[in-house]
Amino acid sequence: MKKTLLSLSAIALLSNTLIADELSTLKEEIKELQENQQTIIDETSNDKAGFSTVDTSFSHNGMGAAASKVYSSKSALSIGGYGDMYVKMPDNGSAKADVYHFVPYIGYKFSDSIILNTELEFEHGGANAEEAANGPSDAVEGYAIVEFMYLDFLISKEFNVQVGKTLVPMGLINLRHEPTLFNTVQKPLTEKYIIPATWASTGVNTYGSFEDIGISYNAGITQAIDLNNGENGKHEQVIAGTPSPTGKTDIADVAFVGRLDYTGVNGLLLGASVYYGNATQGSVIGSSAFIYDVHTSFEYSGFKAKALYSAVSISNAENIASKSGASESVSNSNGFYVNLEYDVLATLNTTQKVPVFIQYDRVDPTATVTDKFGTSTNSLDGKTATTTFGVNYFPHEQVVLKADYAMSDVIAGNNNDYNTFSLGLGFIF
Amino acid sequence: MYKKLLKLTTLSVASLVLFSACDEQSVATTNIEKAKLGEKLFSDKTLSKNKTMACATCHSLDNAMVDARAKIPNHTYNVNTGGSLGDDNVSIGDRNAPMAAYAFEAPDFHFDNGEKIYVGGFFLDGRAHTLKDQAKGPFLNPLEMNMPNDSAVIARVKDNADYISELKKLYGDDIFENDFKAYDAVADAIATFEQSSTFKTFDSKFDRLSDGDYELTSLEEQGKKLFEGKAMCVACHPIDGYHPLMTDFTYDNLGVPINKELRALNGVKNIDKGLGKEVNDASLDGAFKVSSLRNIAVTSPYMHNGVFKDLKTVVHFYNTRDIEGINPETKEIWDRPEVPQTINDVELGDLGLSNQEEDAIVAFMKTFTDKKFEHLIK
Ligand code: HEC
Ligand code: HEC
Repeated sequence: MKKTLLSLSAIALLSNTLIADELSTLKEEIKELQENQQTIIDETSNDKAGFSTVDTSFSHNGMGAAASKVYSSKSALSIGGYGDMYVKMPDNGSAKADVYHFVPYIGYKFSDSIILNTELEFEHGGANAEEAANGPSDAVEGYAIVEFMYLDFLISKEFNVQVGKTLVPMGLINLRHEPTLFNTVQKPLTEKYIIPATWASTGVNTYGSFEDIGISYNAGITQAIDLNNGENGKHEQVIAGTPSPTGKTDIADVAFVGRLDYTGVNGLLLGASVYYGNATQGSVIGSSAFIYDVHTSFEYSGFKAKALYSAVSISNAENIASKSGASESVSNSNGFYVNLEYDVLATLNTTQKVPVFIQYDRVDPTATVTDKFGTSTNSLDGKTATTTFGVNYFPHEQVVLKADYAMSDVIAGNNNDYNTFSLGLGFIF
Repeated sequence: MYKKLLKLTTLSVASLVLFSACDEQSVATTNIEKAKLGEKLFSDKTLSKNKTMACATCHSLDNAMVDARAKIPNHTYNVNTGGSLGDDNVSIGDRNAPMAAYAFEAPDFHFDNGEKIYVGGFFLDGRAHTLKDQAKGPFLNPLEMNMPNDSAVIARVKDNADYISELKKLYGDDIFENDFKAYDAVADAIATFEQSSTFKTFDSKFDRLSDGDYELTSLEEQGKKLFEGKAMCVACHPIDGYHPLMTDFTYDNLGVPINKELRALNGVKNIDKGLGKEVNDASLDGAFKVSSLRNIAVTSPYMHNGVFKDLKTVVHFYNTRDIEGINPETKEIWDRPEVPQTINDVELGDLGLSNQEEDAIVAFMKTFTDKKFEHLIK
């Protein structure tokens, strides 16, 4: 605890822009989160259910370690979770602190082959009373949702069935969105605007792996996205912000989702995923969304590389523009990023890690837009190339402190480029 | 649960069949045809009582979508005064006809719960909540096209056989069964035209700058910096993002003075309370919709009542309203605001801009002009 705070203040001192105020809020908030964590530990460790620590090297069907915990848990009840928060200081605006996520995972094993796994997500400090009273608006963002909740029927290594709301098996970060699993303070924009991590959806998913040939797969049908929800108006990102429907939502239309990964060579992951379905929950006839990504990652003694390309195309986007009343609707978008990381402590005999990294992330969330007359035009709206470099410090494999500097090049010429210095912390348990 | 699985499978198969079965071109084609019909209606003078004016009279397609009528012979009225002369050749409106281009981009009128302010809507006081509602107004306005009611407009529409067949084709064979429905279809066709490329070219120098095809002159560049910085114009007329509309579609009382010259002509005596009257809230009296600044250099006169004729006067007003500045058009101190009690004195009134800096802001605003209207810049 003390150590954590000390290292955090060391980083803070380096940055003469960090306001003392924010530091103390940050401290308080860390303390609060750690107390929360302690309470959960206290409460559960006396319980018969028992509390196990997370095995950070374990992953079930591609998910992060904490999300996979119930699968390796010895006891029936399993509690895990993660949290992250950050302070960001853009040079073109005011600094902002955000208690970004606090996310408990609660899992339960009914038997060795029937497993319940859930993720509850409190984002931006949690649900806001004002919002509850007045309905959602731009100004109040905090919320609490059931991010995923599904039953998993484990049949064999090669074939299993999940039913319920699951993470959509696309991209690199969506399945592995815990803060210890990506090195930047903010997720790359490609996995925010093109693949809208964290993206979960209700349906049936089958998955399995064939270890001898190093292939694993996911294939399922799930609730389709809805691009005709009005908010998606003008030149907005394609699907960011819209697709994780919660609670009672229409399930008028479904989509197919599939993923194939190859891990046959040590340290290498090579894969692709696709999504195809109606783009508007059936409310607009004849408009479908096709999303795909190709991804790879490679690890070799302290060195890690990741790359991902993803693209979206929406057919007959004029039908959406016509129905929603928005002047245009996005018809194509794409993005890619490359991330290289090296742990400077790799050669030392320590469990601590200090990875330094550099990432190039380029998104074109509105590559083409289409109006109600079917005229498509190229749009530079939101087109941004961001180069980020930074460092992480893992005092423990479940705890990370992050600092990075992101240089955003806004492609539209009338916009001013900006740079952002960010500090963050994250943990899993 | 297995039932759900079954249901989902059936649904997905069904939807795949649906995707392949639907007629792909129809929506766009229908919209294109509606816009063509709307274009004819927009320019049709027979839809006004004395058959002297159309929407296009006050929103000229060749003249930056504003009222640009030449001086009317034997008439004391001159369009540069502010209001527009009506179909009866006598009535003169009290508001300045705004540019109809890009107007469709406004969101529908609503109250933003987060910001606690009114946003969007059409007309300068937001009284038409949607673009289609707006199009129903001018036909029946006694100061404008002066038709007695919607049935009278539909009767004129029916005089034209082409309109009858096109409206039936696009809106259904039963469209003339009731005049209310037919009037709604007429408004819809006009609104569809108002969303077409005629109303959004996004090819001003400012847009070309964004695409990397234009470079600002040093005066324009200085103006941009001031516009975004010291002069704080972007607080209400944002220019960031791609294809910005240079308005945040909110409402504000800038303390604009009465247009005495116009009032002398039209005889209006009551205070124009703008949004305050529409939403019945005295704290919003005198608030008008923030104007888009697209084509601003070629849409004189300025403000909701057209009180200022020169773009630089507007900038000088923002700059010196609160420090007894001189109105360069009247050579007198700025007149009192029409509604003094609710004016915004936070973001404007005393900006400390030099004469040269005012020129730079005007030069920058000239880059907001659509290519097809650039020849109108004086
Ligand atoms: C006599 C001149 C005149 C005629 C004819 C006329 N308008 Fe207007 N128009 C105006 C004036 C003046 C305003 C502002 C009125 C107000 O705010 O009360 C306006 C406002 C508008 C607006 C709102 C712009 C905005 O930013 O909110 C639109 C759109 C518009 N007119 C379209 C039309 C259409 C469509 C027609 C034909 C059906 C039409 N006008 C006919 C003078 C005219
Ligand atoms: C507080 C919000 C606000 C700020 C700041 C602001 N404006 Fe405006 N602007 C408005 C509103 C509201 C109107 C319409 C007022 C009216 O008609 O009464 C308007 C109208 C205008 C018009 C006339 C538009 C027309 O079509 O008649 C011009 C020109 C203009 N603004 C330029 C500027 C410039 C230049 C700046 C910076 C010096 C600026 N504005 C700052 C709110 C603002």
